[in-house]
Amino acid sequence: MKSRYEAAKNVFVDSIDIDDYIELNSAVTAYKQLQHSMDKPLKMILLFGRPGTGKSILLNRIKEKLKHQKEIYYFDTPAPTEKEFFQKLFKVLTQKELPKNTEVNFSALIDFCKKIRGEREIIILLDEAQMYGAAMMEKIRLLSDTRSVKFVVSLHKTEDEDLIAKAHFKSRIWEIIELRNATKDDQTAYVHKKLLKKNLFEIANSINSKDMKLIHKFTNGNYRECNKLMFTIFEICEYYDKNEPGKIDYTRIPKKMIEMAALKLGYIHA
Amino acid sequence: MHDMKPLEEEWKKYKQKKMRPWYLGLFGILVLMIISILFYDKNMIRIPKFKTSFFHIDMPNTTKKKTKNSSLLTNGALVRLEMTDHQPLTDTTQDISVENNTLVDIPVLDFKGSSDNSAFLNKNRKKIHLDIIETSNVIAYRDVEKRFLMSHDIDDAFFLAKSYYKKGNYKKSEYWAYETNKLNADNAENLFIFIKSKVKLGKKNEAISILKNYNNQTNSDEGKTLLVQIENNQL
Repeated sequence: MKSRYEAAKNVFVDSIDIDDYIELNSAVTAYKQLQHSMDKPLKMILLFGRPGTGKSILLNRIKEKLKHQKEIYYFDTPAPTEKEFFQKLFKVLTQKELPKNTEVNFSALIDFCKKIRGEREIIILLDEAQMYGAAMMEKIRLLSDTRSVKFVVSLHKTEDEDLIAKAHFKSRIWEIIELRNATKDDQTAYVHKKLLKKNLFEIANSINSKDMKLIHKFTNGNYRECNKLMFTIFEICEYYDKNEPGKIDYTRIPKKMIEMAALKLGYIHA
Repeated sequence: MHDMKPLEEEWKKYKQKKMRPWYLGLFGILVLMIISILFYDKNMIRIPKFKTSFFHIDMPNTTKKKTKNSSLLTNGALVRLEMTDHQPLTDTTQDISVENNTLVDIPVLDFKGSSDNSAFLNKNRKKIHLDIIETSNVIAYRDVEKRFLMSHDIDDAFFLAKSYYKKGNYKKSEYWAYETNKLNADNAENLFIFIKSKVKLGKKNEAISILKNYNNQTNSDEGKTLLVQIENNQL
């Protein structure tokens, strides 16, 4: 027999699928801010935030929303080498495949960008930009200087990367948008909206404010961690529902289950 | 997820760990409560173990009043000592009367004549009033001894002499009677304790010699009676 918690569990499988996007106040603000920045004649925009704050999904959403209005490309995973990155970029800019056994001539690419200036306005969304090296970032800057290619650079904010961002991008980035961890209210709305989106009303109602306070405490308002925790909670609930239904209260999520999930994920320790 | 048991066990451990500070806190509060109850009991509540009789001593030139401070147990074994800071002497503390003809073996430090009293007040010295309700505790006597070393109060020394004699500790009663005598040679009762202690310690000849000297000087009836008792081994 299929448990009611199975569907709930799958709601929180971590993905950057645009269908999973949840309209939250903070996300709407960030989206509008990014859209507004992209309309400005900026060369580079930095999207900044700790892992799991929704940078990738925001880039995805903006790509989906603007794909019919602007020439917009999303580079989700960084190319392992500079050569591969410029091959990818060449294909996007020239809309042609690079002939086999050839390499991109960077100077020629700059010239090409200069030529298309005013004719096309290309937006490239670079996710996980902390993976790009300094030399590559310098070339990206040179490309953006042609004013025909605009880069939105998404960067993880960690202690070290914060320094990189400051040192490397400060003089070049014209606008910085920072995404922060969710507040308790935002996270509550996120969890509820995600469940309601899949018509899981009863389960959504079984998560009360106290539970969310605990979940927020464990995940520190991080969406990715929240997804992981919610997935694990429902996985545990599913187990009990199937094997020991006497231990399950369908009207609420027992605190025990939340703590067990937190233990399993290492947020707390015995 | 196939087996939840290890996770459940881990959760139980976590729960115990989480509750530990609460248990410790509760235990701490409980200990504090017990300590405070014991402390309160020891210092504030008088619970006589053996109820015998109360005594009051009439002081000259004072009216008869029965006060709480002067109510002391005497016949029971002494087990507890209570010390409280008293205000300087008042008429009330001096008004002590005797009931049931009980032997007084407690020094009432506030128990002094009016002249002594005024001298005491002039000194502006805060005395510690010692109410020995009942004690067989050596510590109680040690406290009085310690206090005597600090204050050289004749009442303390006399109390110790009487108490030790009554307890049968003649060596100590001899010593404290001697100390009392150094401070006040006119205390006949103290001198008799000194003499009786000597007799009990086997120094009969020495005791008789002292007593005879005393009798020659004072022609005291009590002294004569005591001499007869000693000579006839009736002590």
